[in-house]
Amino acid sequence: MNRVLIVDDQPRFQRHLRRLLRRAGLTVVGEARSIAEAAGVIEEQAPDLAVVDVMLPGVSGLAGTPRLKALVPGLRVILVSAHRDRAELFKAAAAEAGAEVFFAKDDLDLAVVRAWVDRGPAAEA
Amino acid sequence: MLQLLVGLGFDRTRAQVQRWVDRLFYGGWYDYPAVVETVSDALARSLARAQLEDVLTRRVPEMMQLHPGELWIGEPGAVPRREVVAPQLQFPLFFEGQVRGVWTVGGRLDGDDFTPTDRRILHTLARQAEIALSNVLLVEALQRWLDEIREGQHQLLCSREEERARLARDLHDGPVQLLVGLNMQLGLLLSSGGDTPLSEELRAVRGEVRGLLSDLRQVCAELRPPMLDTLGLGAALRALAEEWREQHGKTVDLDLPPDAVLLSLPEEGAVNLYRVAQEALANAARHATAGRVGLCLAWDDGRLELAIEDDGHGFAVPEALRDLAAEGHFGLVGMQERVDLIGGERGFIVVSSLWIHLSSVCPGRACSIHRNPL
Repeated sequence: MNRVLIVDDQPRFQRHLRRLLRRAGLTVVGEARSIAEAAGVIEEQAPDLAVVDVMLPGVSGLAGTPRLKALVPGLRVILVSAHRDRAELFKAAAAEAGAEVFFAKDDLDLAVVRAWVDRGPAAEA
Repeated sequence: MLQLLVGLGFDRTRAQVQRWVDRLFYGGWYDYPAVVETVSDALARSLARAQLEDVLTRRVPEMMQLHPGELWIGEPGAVPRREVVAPQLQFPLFFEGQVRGVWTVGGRLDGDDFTPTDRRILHTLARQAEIALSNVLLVEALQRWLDEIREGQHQLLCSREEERARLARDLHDGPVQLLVGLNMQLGLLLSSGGDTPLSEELRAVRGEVRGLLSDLRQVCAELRPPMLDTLGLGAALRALAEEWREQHGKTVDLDLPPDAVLLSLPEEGAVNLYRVAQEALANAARHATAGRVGLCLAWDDGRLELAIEDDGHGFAVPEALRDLAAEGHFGLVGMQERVDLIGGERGFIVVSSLWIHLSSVCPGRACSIHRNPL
C-alpha cells in the first residue's frame, strides 16, 4: 500500500510532495498535471494511493476522484488544496466524491503522510 | 355627324357616371381637417419604424381614399431609384440634410387625379412625416447608444471579474505555492533535526510562513472566492454566510437548493449572484442595524429566486437609483448593473423605503432577488 501517484499542476508542489512522500517511505510511481493524464498513469502503474489537488486545469480534483477510483478498484484518493478556509466544506465535498480525506497543503508533513501508511484508510485530517 | 356628336356625348356621360359610381362604392370625398388632425397626432406618437410605416402606408390611404402607399427608410446613398408611375406621388423625407426616407403615395381610388387640395394636404403630411422620421431615427440612435453603454458596462464587469480571477490565480499558482513548499521544507527540516535551539528558530520561521500564507489566502478569497470555482455557488454562499456570521456576530438563516441545481448555472450567472448576495450582506451589516439576515436561494420550476431579508430599519430610497450613485453610494447601483447583466431584457430593480426587489433572468433561467425586512 505504498505506491503513490501525485496529481497536481504545480511543478513546485509536485517536487516538495515527492520529497515528503519518499521521506515517509512511500514510492512515487508517477506524476500527472490533470485528471486525464492521471488516468493514463493509473492504467500503467496501478498505484495504491493518489494525492490529488482540488484545483486542476479542466476536470477538478473533486469531479475527477470518482473517475480515477473507477479505473482501479480500491484506489485510495487523498484530496489536497492550497486553500484551507472553510476546510469543512472541502472535507464534506471530498467525502461525497469518494475521497478518503481532505488536507490543506500546508498541513502536510511527515507525521501526516506516515499516518496514511500506518493507519490506512482510517487516517483523519 | 349627328351620330358622332351623340357618340362623344355618350362617352363623356359614361365617364361621369363611372366616376359617380366609383365615389359611391369607394368614396370620393374625405374630411380634410380630420385627416390632418388625426394623421398629425399619429405621426407625433410614432417613435418606431413600424408605427410610422403604418400611419403613412395604411392609415393615410384609408382616410384619403387612396391606393396603399410605400415607405422606404434607409441609409443615405441607398435611396432606391424607382420611377413614379402617375397618378402616384413621391415625397423624399430628409434627416440632417440627407434623404433617409421616401414616401410613395398611391393614386386615388376613384381614379381621379390628385386635386390641388389633395396635394397640399399630402405635402403637409410629408413634412410632418419628416419630423416623425427624425424622431424615429433619433430614438434608434439613442437605443444604439444605450446598447453600447450597456455592452460597455457588461464588458467592464466581465473584465473586472476576469482580472480579479486572474490575479487570484496568479497569487495561488505563484506566491501561495512557493510558501506551501517552503512550509513543507521547514516541516521536513524540523522532523529530521530533533529538538535543538535551531528548531525553535525554524518553528518561528514556519509560523511566519503560515501567517503569510493565511494573509495571501485572504487576498485570493477576496479577489475570487475559491469555492465558486471548486465547489460551486452553493458552497460559496455557505462560506460567505458563515464568514459574515463570524464577523458580525449576527444570525444568518441560509436556505439553498441542491448543489446540482446551482452547479448547472452558467459561470457568469453564479459569479454575479454571489456578488449581489455579498453586497446585500455587506449593506445589511453596514446600514441596516439588523440582528438577523435571511439568505434564501429557491429553485422553482426553472425559476431561481435569491431573497435576502433582514430585520433592520430599512431606508428611504430615492426614486432613481442613480441618485444614490450621485451621493457616493454605489452598492445598489452595482447590484442593479449585475442584475441587468445576468437578467438581459428582464433585469430590473424596484426599491421602496422598506424593501428592495430585483428580478432578473439568467440565460435559460429566471432569477429574482429581493431584500425585505423580516
